[in-house]
Formats: sequence, structure tokens, C-alpha cells
Amino acid sequence: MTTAKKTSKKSSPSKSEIGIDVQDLKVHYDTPDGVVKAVDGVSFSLRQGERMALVGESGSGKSTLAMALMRLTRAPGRIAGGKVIVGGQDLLDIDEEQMRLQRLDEVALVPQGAMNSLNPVMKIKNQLLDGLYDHQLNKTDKLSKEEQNDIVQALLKSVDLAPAVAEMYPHELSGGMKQRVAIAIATSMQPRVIVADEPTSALDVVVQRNVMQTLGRLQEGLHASIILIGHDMGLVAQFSDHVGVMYAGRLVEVGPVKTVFKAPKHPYTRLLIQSLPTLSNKTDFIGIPGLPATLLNLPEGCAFCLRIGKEDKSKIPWVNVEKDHYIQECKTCADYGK
Amino acid sequence: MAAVLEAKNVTKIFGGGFLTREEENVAVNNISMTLDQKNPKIIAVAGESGSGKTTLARLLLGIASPTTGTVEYDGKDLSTISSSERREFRREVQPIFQDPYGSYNPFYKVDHVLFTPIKNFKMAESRDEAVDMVEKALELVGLVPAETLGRLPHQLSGGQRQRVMVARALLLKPRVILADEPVSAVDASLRATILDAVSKLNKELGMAIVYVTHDLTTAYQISDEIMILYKGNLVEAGDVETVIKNPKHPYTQLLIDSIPEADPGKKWGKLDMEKTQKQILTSPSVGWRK
Repeated sequence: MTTAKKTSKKSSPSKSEIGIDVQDLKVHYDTPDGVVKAVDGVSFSLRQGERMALVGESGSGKSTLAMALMRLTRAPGRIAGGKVIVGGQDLLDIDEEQMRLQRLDEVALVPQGAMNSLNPVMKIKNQLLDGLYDHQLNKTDKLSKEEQNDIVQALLKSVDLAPAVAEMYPHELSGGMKQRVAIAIATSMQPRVIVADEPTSALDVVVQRNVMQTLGRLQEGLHASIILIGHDMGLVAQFSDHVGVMYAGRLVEVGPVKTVFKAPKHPYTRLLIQSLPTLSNKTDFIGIPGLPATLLNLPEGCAFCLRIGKEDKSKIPWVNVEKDHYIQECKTCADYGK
Repeated sequence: MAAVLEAKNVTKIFGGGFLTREEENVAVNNISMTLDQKNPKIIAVAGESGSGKTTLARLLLGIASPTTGTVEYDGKDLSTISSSERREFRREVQPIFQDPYGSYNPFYKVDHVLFTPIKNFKMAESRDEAVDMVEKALELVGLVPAETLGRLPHQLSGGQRQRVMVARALLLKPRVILADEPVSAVDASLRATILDAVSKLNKELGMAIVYVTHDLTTAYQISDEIMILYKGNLVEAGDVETVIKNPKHPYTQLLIDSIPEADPGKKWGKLDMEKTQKQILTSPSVGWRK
């Protein structure tokens, strides 16, 4: 059985093993007006079992990045450079068929709005098995009815869905249930890396909490790395261990959630956190001035400076501010909003 | 008691009826609320999807009519007022909707949504006066008129489009503004600016505001009172400080407990789901009932 083979392959995971290593990833969109650098040289790595969140405003390139990690970038977008190393293999350096087999098996996606990612005319049980069948190289060991049923029920149980869901169609499920099915599919082949692109942005808070708890539990069980893409800073603070803040297609601050939220070092992160309303006290929560950067023909240097009416064309270095905590330190805007 | 807008025991039922097999869906169940004239407040109507919050807003706007109960404007039943009174009502009670893009005609410049109401309600003597009014309104919501007027909707950002809608609403100097999820389609960093503009309308111009939302955090930040809706029922209402800090109804407790706070030190989701969900069904509503 597929699942049994998989367990042996990834047995004895050690905490220090790298789950995913992204190096200088670039995604460009070719438009009539010029090249839009939606992801502009992003690098980060994540150990197995760790959770990392990538946050940023709309247009910061976070969803483009998520798609590039799965190598699902569509035209006019193209991956213009970099490496995505999962399990010792550069995903950007293999052919399309090999990549197809890596998806779900090594890197799986929990899409944004599961409502639209399920097939409306296919029973849930068949959708759960679809991926498994598609990736089963050895077509001869076809699964028996019982085996199929066992797999489906185990998957449904893993995401807290009732056994009866197997026979249902997507329209019979609520938003939260559909998102659970999407999570079951994503984890069905025990991937090394799970990319969750705003998995709960369409759900109510109570449902969101339940779904995220399920996702977290499964990820821990699989000892997988998870990359959570989102704009909800609250969810990020509660769910992940590490956070990467994106601005204008670039990472500007990376670090452990605890230290970044307590003492953000990049001015953009600082403003982002200040702009969040809280339930603990009424304050004048203030927005971030200016508009998000346009990615078209973005000049060299600090992108955030442009937003606050400054300019710094020098090459912005990565600076290690404390343990595991790095920022893109621009001398011109470093103290903005302090 | 001078109430600008008042809902008296309104119930809205969808579906049902003689010829359908559809089950009745009680979207709003016997809810009363008052928007005071003398002491205009910001009242938040909060709940999850299916709570009936948008239906309640539509009843207050007169877009939908209640199955039972009445919505009264200046003491007159909305369902029986004359067309001239209705026209006045349309000016004095202004909506701001969720999707700032859906409110525009993409072929017209944004000027259109600002100048049309002035023309319709004959609010300006001359073109110059109208321009002056529009510019003042835009400045009040933090927009630069020169950078806003003359543009097409798609040339503005989501936050700017929504702020133009706020400007449009205040242009008519209404007594009530009904904002249905005004910031849920906008980035978090821009929410503050829009809500700040809405809150100014209340504090500086004395407009009563109904803020319909699923987001308790922003509701807490800008409103004075809050009503928590659950499946069409009002489960808890009162002063926002009291309700948020010391929620009495298990549903309110569950909602507050489920909000992920942007502070990693705080524990998320302490309550036992199943136990709380059982309590919700048996607990009576808490707070004022008028």
C-alpha cells in the first residue's frame, strides 16, 4: 500500500533535517508595460516539523510565492530564477512529469477557498483517492474495495469528518467541511512540505479555529514543514513558529514569531503590527501611510522608503538582529514610525 | 424619545409559504433596536455568516420589509410612508456596502458617484459649490481630491475606493450611516484609516452609525454599543466595553475565545467547543431589550 511505503521512506525524522530550502527565488510577470517582479529574490529555509508564516498586504507577492513553491506559476508569470530544495532535490530543476509526481507526495497545497478547488461532480471519496491513484507508479497493485474504503475513512477521521461524508458531493458540505476535505487530500500522501495559502480566509472565526487546529495536529503528526500564507496577523501569531514579512515581492523581516511580534525591527513590520486592532484596549489604531508599492519597474534599493516619501538606492543588506531574527536594514527608513 | 430609526420587534422569514416545500428560514427573529437622535452612537451589529446581520441591515435600509414588526423612521412606519418622505429617508439614511468595487460603474469616473447624489437631491446651487462640497468630503476621509477625482474606479486602490464611498455617504449629511462590512474586502493596514473616517462621522458630525461586521476586534475599537447575533437571534447586547471584556452569553464567549490575537503570548481557543455549543442552545439572551 502506498501509505505504508511512504512511512518507511520518511522514518526517523530528526528535528534538524531541512524540510524546504528556498534560495533566491524570483517570479516575474511579463506585461506590455514591463517586467513585474512579483517575487524578487526570496530566500528562507525551514526545518521539518516547523511552521512558518508569510505575511504581507495584497500585492506583496505572497500567493505568487506559494504557487512558485508548487511550481504552479502560470503565464504570463514565470519562475525567473532560484532554487526550491525539498528532500535534497531542486524542484525547479526537474522535468514536468517528475514535478507532477512530487506534488502531493513531497509538496502539497491547501488552496485558498477550498470551495472552488473540489470537483463538484465527484464524490468526496473519489476525490480523496484521486491523488493516491494518480501517484501510484505501480498500477498493478490496484487497491481492493476494502483497502480503498479504509484509506478514505482514515483520511476523513484524520480531519474530524463523519464517515458519511465519503458518499457526499461538495455542495452538500459547509465551507469548513470542504476546507477539511482539502486538508485531507493535501495530507493523504504524507508530504514533507505543506503550503497553505490563506486556508481559512473565507471561514468564520469559530470554524477557522477548528480547521487550523486540525491542520496543525496533522502537520505535527506528519512532522512536515508548513508554510502558511496569510494576511491575518492574529492567525499567524497563534499558529506559526516563524514569520516572514513580505513587502513588494521581497522578504523584509524573518524571525521567530515571539520576537518579531514583541519587538519588530523593520519599519514596515512595526507599522503592520501597530495597525492591528486588539481586544485588550481601545487605542487609536493607525493605518500604514501611503499605498503599497507598485511592482512595475520597481527601482533598486529600499522599496519601503518609496512608500513614506524617501529614497535609498543603496543595496540593502540582511542584518542579524538577534538569534534567528533577520531584517533588511535600510539606513534611511530604519527608525520610521518608532 | 426621539429615535431617528427604530426597529420594533422585527422578524424576517425567508422561504416557506403554501406552494413550496422549502423550509422556513428565520433570518431575523424578533429584534428591536433604536438609533437615538440626541445622542448619536456607533452601534455594532456583529455575528458570523448566517447570523442575520446583513438582513437586519437591509430591513433598516428599507431594501427588505419585515415579515412581522415595523421599522420606523422619525416615528413613521417605513412600509406606509409617502414617496416624498421615502425620498427624504433615502437621503438621511445612507448605506456603505462591503464590496467597494461593486458599488461603481466601471465605465464612469469616480466623480459620478459623488456628483450624482448632489444633483439628485439638489444640494448645490452651482457647479463650483458642488465641487467644493465633494472636495471637502474627500478631504474628510483622508483623500487628496486632485489625486482622486477624474479617475476610473480601477485606477484607485481598494482602500481608496471604499473611502470614496464613505465620502459619498457623508456628502448628503445623513443622520444615519449603515455600514455593512465596510472593511472586510480591504487590507488590514488600510482598515484603520477607513474605520477612523467612519468614526469621525459620528464624533465630529454627529451621525448615528450602524456598523455591521463579523470582526469583533474592529467593532470593539470603534463602537459604543454592540449587538451579538446568532442564527437570527439577539444573544447579547450592551455597552461594548462590558460585552467584550465580560461576555455573559456562551456564544459571545466562544466568539471572543476564537479570535486569534496578534500576540503569541496569548492562548488561542481555551474553551471546550462541544460543551460551549450545547450551552449556547440553552442560554437566554443577555442585555438590553427595548
